[in-house]
Amino acid sequence: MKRLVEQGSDWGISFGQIVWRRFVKSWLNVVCLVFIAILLLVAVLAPFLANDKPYVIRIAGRLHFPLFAGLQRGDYCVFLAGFVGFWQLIQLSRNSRRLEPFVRGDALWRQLSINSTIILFGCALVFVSIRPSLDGKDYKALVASGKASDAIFTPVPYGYTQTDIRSCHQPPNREHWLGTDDVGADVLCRLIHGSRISLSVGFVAVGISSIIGVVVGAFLGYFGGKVDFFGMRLVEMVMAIPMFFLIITMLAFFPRNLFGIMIIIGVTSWTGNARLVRAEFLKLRKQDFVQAALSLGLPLRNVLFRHILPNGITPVLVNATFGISGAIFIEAALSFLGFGAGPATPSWGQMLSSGVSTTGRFLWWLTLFPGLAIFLTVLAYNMLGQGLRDALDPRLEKRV
Amino acid sequence: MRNRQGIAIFLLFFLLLIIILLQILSMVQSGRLYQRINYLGQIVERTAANAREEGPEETSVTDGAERADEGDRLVWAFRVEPKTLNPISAEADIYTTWITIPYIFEPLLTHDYDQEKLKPCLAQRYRISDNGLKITFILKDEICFSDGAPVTADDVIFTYQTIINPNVDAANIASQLTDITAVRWVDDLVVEFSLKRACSKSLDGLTWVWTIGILPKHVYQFHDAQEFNRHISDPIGSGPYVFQKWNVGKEIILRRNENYWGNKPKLEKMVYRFISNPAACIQALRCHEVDIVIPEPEQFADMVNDEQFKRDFYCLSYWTPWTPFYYIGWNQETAFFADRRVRLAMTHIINRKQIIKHLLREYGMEISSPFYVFGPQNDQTIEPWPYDPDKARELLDQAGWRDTDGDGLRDRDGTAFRFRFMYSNSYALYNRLARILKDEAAKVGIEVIIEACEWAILSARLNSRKFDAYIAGLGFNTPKDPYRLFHSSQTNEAGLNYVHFCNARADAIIEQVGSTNDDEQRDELYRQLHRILHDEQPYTFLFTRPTLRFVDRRFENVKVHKMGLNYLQWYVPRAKQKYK
Amino acid sequence: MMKTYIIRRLLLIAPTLFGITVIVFLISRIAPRDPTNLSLGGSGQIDAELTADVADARRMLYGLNKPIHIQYAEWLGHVLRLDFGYSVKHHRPVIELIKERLPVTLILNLMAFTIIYAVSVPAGVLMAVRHGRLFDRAGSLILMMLWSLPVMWVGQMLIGYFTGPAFKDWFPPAGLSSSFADQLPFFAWLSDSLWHLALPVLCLSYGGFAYLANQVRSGMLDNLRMDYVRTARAKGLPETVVILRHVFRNSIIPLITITSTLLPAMFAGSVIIERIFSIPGMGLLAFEAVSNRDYNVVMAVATIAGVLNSIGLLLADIAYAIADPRISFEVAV
Repeated sequence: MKRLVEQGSDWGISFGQIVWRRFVKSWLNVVCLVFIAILLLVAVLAPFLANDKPYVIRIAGRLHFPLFAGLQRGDYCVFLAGFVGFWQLIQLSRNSRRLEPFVRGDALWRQLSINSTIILFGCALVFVSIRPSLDGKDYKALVASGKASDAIFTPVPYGYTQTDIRSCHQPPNREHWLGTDDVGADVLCRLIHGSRISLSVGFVAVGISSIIGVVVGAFLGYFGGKVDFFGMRLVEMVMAIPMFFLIITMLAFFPRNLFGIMIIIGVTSWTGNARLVRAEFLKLRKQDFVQAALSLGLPLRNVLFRHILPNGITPVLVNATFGISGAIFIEAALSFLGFGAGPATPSWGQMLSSGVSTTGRFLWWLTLFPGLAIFLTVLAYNMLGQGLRDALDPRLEKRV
Repeated sequence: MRNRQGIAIFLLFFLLLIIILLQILSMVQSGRLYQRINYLGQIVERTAANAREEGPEETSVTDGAERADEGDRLVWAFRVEPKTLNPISAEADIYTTWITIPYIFEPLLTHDYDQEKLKPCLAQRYRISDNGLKITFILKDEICFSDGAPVTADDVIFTYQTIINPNVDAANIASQLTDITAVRWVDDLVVEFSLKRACSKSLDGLTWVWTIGILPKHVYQFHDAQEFNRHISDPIGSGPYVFQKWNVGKEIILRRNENYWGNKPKLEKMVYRFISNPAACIQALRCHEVDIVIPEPEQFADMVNDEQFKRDFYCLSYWTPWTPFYYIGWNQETAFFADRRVRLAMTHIINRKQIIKHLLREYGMEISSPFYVFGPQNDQTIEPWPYDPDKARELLDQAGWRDTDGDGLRDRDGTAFRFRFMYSNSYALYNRLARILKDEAAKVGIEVIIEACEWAILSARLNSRKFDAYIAGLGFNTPKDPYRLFHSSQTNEAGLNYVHFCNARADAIIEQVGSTNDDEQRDELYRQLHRILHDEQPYTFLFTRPTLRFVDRRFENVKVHKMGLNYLQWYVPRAKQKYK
Repeated sequence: MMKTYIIRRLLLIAPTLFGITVIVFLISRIAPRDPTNLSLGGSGQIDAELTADVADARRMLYGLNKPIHIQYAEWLGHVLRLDFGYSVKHHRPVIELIKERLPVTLILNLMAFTIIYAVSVPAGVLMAVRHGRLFDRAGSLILMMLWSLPVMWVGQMLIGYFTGPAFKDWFPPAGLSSSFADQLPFFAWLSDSLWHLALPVLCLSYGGFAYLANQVRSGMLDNLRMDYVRTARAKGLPETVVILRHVFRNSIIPLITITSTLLPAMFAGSVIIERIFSIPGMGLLAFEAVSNRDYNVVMAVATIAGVLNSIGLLLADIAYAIADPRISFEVAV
């Protein structure tokens, strides 16, 4: 039911536009947004920024493209997700200009579901069709020995699994701009690839916790009464266990890989969202528009998720941004404590933990840079959340 | 008007902040003051340090033994606190053994410090029957435990029977004693053991059995095995030191046994402090809070360049037959490592020389066998395989592993060469080695999936043979019995031959060793075994490390014997004694 | 009416506690890994005695081969008698371990709490009073930055830069007290302990500033807009009295509930900080227990944490109900 119409003057500004304008009024918010955008760009394009394979190289007269040939399944999935996410944002900004107000909600749902399906199917397709490959050739040695020429390397010409024990524990110098770690891997390269890990943990964990929290909260809040009573007991039970402890308990007993960590963080932090959504639903279910929807005979899930939920979603969005920063912090903390995905994955927290060597030497470059990365990312998301909350709250206008 | 009130609140806030700051500063100041006073006090007590010889091999002044030099303490810094002081317990680890044997408990025979053999301790002599299947120990006369009770054959029998009691939590030690079929009381001071296999004159292969500390029956006897299992502290034995106190989490204190039946040591107390952080250990040493520390190779390499440090402390680095070695085990039941050429290729891609140079800072040595690198069982003519990735590629090609589908990974019969490499995350060095292996393997077309896990999981997987490759170390208080590690009968779930090494010639040699009494012959057989292991590479033997110690220079008689340090000989001249 | 409310809330704790124990018990038993293998070989060296039947023998000895509901029932029976069993790793009764370690964590958290409140409340008040001006904006920014600083980074930087011989030993690097501490007289010992605790408490507390100050600030802002403030000012009351006696008192009510939410956050921070500074508290105990699959300790810590949290929540609810007369006790819990 989407109709492409010129924006009518009687449409006015949508709520989203109001929030956006309030949001960008503060330059701090804009800086955070730009920082996050750059971080996302770096995360998506990581193999193009830091890789031991060159973009192009001429061996025996023929041109090869090792970097592109060496892209793995995970890389393609990330590209797909990034591209589709970017497309979704564009669509979002176009919605308020191109569509009539009363079809925007439906259009947004449809776009979200189409894009999610594209991502899921695309990832599945990638996993089925593209095989993992391994390229162990030392291109730098080839160039140095003269067997190859015309090589263009990435800005940071190191791979994140590369080791070079001859240059381990080196402070920042000309070859390694941010120094090397305990096996000679370049710190800047690992930071860049680590951004992927952190951001993906943030998004997936928050996605899981939001979905679970919204569904649980919606049911509890809508039905009220006995369902609410027993449901809240359950929620309180899960809430009563300190989350961090629950996470490390679960991590101790299940195999350690990145997906496991994402899922565990998501599964242990949904209670906050559930409470918020429940409160909103308790308030909203008595409103007229809900009664109207029910009397029209619409099915329950329709009423819950297409009528009530869009009105109660704002605290969940704010919580989501704080959740992302929280998930990034938890993942770093877990990797720091040794419960992370393993020493081969370039997690920021794991790099931070190697900042003090076993002999007590303080390796400042291994403490400063990963820590700074975590700090700035968490700070950006927190300020984003704060700015969003202030923009959404009509009471917090500048004049008291 | 508003502004004035605002200022008041502001001042209040400020005042609070200043109070907190003052509090913190005063804490800092008084702490530093105390440190300073203590440190100055120690400087005043000590005499100026003499210039001594530098170098890793340290020798000291002669064996003066004056009664006037009794006293003082030796304070150790242990990284790990032992869980029990009962050496007959599955919970007893290397630290328990270091503390209790031979200081609190004494065995029938102990290791000699200058020769690799056993010398009498509680037993004055022993007699092996002609067929080698019976060994009789005669205990010394008039020896007693620290509470005065005499040491008799009953205690020996009690000790051994307790170990094999299934209700006693000592299953791991009991599994070592399977070669003993019976223990017989002959006399108050005579015990006879019956063995399954003949033992050699030097008691090789069963040395560990005779060095189990003897527990006094009258103290440790029990009705319910749980009583014994819970008896983890307050040990009473016959040794030169007596247990004094265990401040859990902080230290264990032993004091000298004034009723000791033998030569009493000079040092009055042995204190073991638990400091888990390696950097904190060195710091404690420099502050003279501890006297002896076991440093990491990197710490040793750093400190050895510090002249001031060397003047205050001995920097000892020495080799003994018990130094641990590290190895990678390749599971020969997998498709990958069943072929000897593949295992050899994997050995060729590990650059042991560079690892020793950069990760161990030269405090290590390449090895090619599980035997002590300077011992007679190690064939000195065998050179470890060199780092040669090109040779590795050749070998892999020969074994049929080629990249047939163009994805960069070698494969054969449709299986890609991708294996899981497991290790215990308790030792930081393994992390680095794993990443290095992953990188080097990628260069020859093999993908390694690194799995760090807790020790408990690793051992479970090893037991159930569900692994591809792993890295571990083999250390001190275990008999390096080739039978258990390499004989093909041990490849079942109950054995230690985790890598499924089945080689008929090796089996024959091992069996021959079991039936040979002559030490020369046994050594020659071991050398042959070494050659087989070197050719077959069931393990890639990585390296072995020297024993490293930092010791406070006030101790005299710190002599590095062939078998290590003999703490019972140390003393501190009265003038330099720190603890009264 | 209030009494029935309190009784009802107290009764509701029981199923919550039951649920907590069941959840943790199930998690800790799901995996096919148990602690009997752990002790043999701590530094990565395999002791050659480790075989499958040794492991089985030990497992039988510790009762780990019985069906799960029997294990749970047995455990519950013991817990109600405050017997949490034996720790397999430390080989001592768990209750002793907890008795040693819980006070340490409590003291740490209490000190952090005090500092957080002492700093945040005035800061929040000041920021609300100077809303919109430089103090408020700069303050918010600084607090936000403090909240975002990852605690392990701060801890490690503090250790690297403020401890150790290169920096004149301003602070000690680890532990709760120096090794000669038990020989000191009381005040010197206290001072030594405080010296050791200074950095950990600092790390634990700075994260809470932002949260609390924000709550105080928004509470104050809400109240500053109310009519009664205008009335009070019109009556001619001095500004300090208006703010401190009227506005402030009404806005501290939410602070009560915040205490209960700060508690679990403290626990997470505790684990990391106790690990970095090697302080033998509950956080470190929990971490080690989870690493070593020490079931009894895991269960004990989870139970105690759950109990403390529930009690905290309950107290906060009750205190809230008492303090705020607007809350009716008929409201569904």
